[in-house]
Amino acid sequence: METSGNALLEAVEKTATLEPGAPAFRASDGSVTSYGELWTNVLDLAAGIGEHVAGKDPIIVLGRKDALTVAAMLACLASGHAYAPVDADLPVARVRDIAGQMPYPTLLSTCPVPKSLRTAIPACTMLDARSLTEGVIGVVPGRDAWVSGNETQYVIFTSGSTGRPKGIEVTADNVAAFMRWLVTFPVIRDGHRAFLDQAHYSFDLSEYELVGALATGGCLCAVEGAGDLDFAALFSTLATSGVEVWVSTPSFADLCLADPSFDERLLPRLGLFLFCGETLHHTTAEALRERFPQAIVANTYGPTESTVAVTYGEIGDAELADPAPLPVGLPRPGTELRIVDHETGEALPAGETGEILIYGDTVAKGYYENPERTAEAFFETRLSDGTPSRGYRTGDLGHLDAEGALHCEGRLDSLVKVSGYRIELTEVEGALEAIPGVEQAAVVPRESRGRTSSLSAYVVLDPAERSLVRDAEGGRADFELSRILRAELARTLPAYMVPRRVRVIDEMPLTANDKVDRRALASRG
Amino acid sequence: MGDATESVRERTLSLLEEVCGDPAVHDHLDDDLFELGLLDSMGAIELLVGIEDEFGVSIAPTEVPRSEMNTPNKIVEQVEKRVA
Repeated sequence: METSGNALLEAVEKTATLEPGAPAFRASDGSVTSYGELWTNVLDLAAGIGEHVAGKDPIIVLGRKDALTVAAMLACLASGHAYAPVDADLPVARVRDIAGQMPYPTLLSTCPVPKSLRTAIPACTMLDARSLTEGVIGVVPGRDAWVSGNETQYVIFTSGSTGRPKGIEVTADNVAAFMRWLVTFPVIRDGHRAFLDQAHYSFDLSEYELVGALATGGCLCAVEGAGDLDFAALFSTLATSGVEVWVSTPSFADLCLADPSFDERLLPRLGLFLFCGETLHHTTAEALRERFPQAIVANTYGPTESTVAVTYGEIGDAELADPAPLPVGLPRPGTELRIVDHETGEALPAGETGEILIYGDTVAKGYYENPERTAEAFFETRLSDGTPSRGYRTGDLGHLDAEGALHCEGRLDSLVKVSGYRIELTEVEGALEAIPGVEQAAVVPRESRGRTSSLSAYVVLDPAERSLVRDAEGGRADFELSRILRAELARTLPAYMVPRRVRVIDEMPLTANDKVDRRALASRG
Repeated sequence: MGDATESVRERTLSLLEEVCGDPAVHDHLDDDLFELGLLDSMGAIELLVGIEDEFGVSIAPTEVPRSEMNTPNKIVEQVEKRVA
């Protein structure tokens, strides 16, 4: 369904008008921003953007989890631009790689911008959201300027196999279609609910709570990310948050479950757990149902390329009684799933495993400034009733059961997920091989309790470097080298992509076909 | 096997080596593993789960501040305190 206007902005404006005092954002320190305040900031920022930036190109929004970052993203939409959310902790080189893909890059920051970043992207127009909201200049753009229809709402950059971050362009219509479905979820449909806001905005999982809360007059309750977690602080934030809808990866829930105080006494109002981004295990779902007997545990599935999620399934006693991996649920109205043989493209019947194809109104526009990759993965097709639709080849493996529920079974390629973040192993290998002195690198996922917990890298050094290392004393030198290589990687890759271990080996184990023997590497532990 | 205290220490260190994936933990008994990049939040949880499996003692993440469990020696101390 082609729509005009912007469903998300309209919903925020409506709440700001009818209930300006309703809380929209609760920071981890407890400070609250109302819908009225949020909307004022959106309009001020949109006026400022209109004053400085011509055209309709995406704007990089650099920031952390705070109300101003949310206002900045909405302000991009209100001034006719897509937003590309970027984590303030991302290495400078990574932000440069993202800005470098844009013909006319603009960066709107809601936090201080390090000088090294300014120097790295000299051609980028730099806007400071904090000063734009102070002295308002310019004219507030009208509704006709809002991002709408097939225009891009956001560009999410993820790991790309070619060594550059890959931008995924999701349209206003995609988000509107996702929103129409999301507002029918239990608990969310009641309106005015409090949502856990944990995943960084650069990770499209966060669109769950952004769209879910802002479309229904709900409140985003921010907590610090999982990267460098202070448990005591996290739990004290949770205790006063009043969270009713929990959105996270299963990994983050596991992390919280490690503490016995994570139960209904800590979050007495919690009614719905929404999981996406990686495999939900029986142990996680069982523990949550035991500790939060009043809450629904729901599993969902969807790549960024089809707008956050396209399936929903509640995990109850029947699902848990079956030891097979938990289903991810039924497709949303507007989405059709096809399972095909990856080699022949032939449709497979229920029960058989193949590549998952997604058809429907949430399939994204494609990869930013990359028509070739877009044409490889996206295509025009028709739904079963003949309606023209866009389709996407996910690269995920799975099967549909007799009831039509989807079961995921891994990947066709070397994409892995660590804490829900997509990582192309080839990109990490490429970054290692770009370090002077490294001849060859292989990266393998390390499994812990049925999930990829971290990455291990194995590198072969140039012969000249090798003798240097061997001259030094054994294990200690290896450790120092590992530290140096990890520090080098952290200069170009997001923290979640840096392998926890880097081992120097004399030569790469090879398979009979002369390919790197990943299985042999993985078994080295 | 040595005396009980010795074996708790050894078992904890070998568990730590497994989680960190690096024998270097034995050379850095009083260094901050988070600063060395050998542990992160997920790794710390893996360690706590491992300790529970190995010794049957549970340490709640909210119960012990990171500053009291960030070096191999401090981790061993926390385990010994509970096993004893």
